Amino acid sequence: MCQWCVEHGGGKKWYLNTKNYITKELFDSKKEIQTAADIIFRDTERLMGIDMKKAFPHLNKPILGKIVGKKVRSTLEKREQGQVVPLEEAKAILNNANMAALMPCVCRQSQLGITEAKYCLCFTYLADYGKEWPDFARGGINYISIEEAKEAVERGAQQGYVIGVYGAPIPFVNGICMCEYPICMILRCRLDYGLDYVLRKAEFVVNHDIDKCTGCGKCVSKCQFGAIILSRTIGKALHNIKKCFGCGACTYVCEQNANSLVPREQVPAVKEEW
Amino acid sequence: MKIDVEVDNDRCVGSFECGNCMRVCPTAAFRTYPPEVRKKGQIYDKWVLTCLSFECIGCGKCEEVCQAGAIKVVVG
Repeated sequence: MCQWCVEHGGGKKWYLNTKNYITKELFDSKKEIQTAADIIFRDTERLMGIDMKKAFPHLNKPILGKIVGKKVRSTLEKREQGQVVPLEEAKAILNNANMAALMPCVCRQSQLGITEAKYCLCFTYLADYGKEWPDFARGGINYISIEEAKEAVERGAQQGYVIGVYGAPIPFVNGICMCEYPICMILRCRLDYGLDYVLRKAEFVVNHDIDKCTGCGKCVSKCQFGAIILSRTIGKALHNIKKCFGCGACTYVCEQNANSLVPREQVPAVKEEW
Repeated sequence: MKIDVEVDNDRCVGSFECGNCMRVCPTAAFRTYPPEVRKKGQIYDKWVLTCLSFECIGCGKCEEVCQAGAIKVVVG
């Protein structure tokens, strides 16, 4: 159990607690959710354009990096934070949501100029609120049923995207994202700039059955985190669980069913790694 | 060595209309953003293209694909 689950989960994982889903009443009563939602809908500019140019080049420098890092942390913590989830968990989240909408992906818009790629899955009240931001939704918003949303997530997982659930501010669940490195800004914040609070690892970690592995190498190309290497000497894939985020991308492609996901708390080596 | 990418936004036809430079960039160093802070219910017709020079590796691919000749990679 991560810190968020202990604080906001009520005995469950934080993203499965029905109290944390944004309804219209909750949205109207809490000012911080409104501010966060407004920031998300315009963050193509704020988070990824001008602001980044000032702060991010200094993050990897020794002393200055610490000072800048603290400032970035205090702003980002209020905006967008998330956790990687496997496909089954994403479907469980969608079971709790009452409405869903597919929106054009913010990161693909701002970095590739593509507005047709609809991979941002907003649900609950935020799906409705997105209408009021026509520039964010320039590719159009698709209002879909929960069943269709589950299919969309499944399709994303088959294509090898990392699925993440995002809350702004924590613990209010606002959407599911399917993305890849280096386009995804959030994956990039974590992997390139070491902002580990922006995206947490999943509650699961991979369990690799080395006897079943034939060394076909399909999982190696699917891993976005560089956790898998294909050993030439023994002719099998080797999984580094310290680097594993538990997204499950390697489990969908394995024809021998050598990869499976186990709860992180059962593996002592990575129990405290988030 | 200092690498800088100069984007001439007057010549650029627009990131959503063309966007060739953004798609060929191996480090995804390009960003596009509206010039002012956005408000609820607003639509912008002109977005500004910029390249984050600290992400750039100086491969020059964007300069090759830009048909409007708006991008210049300066290495030195």
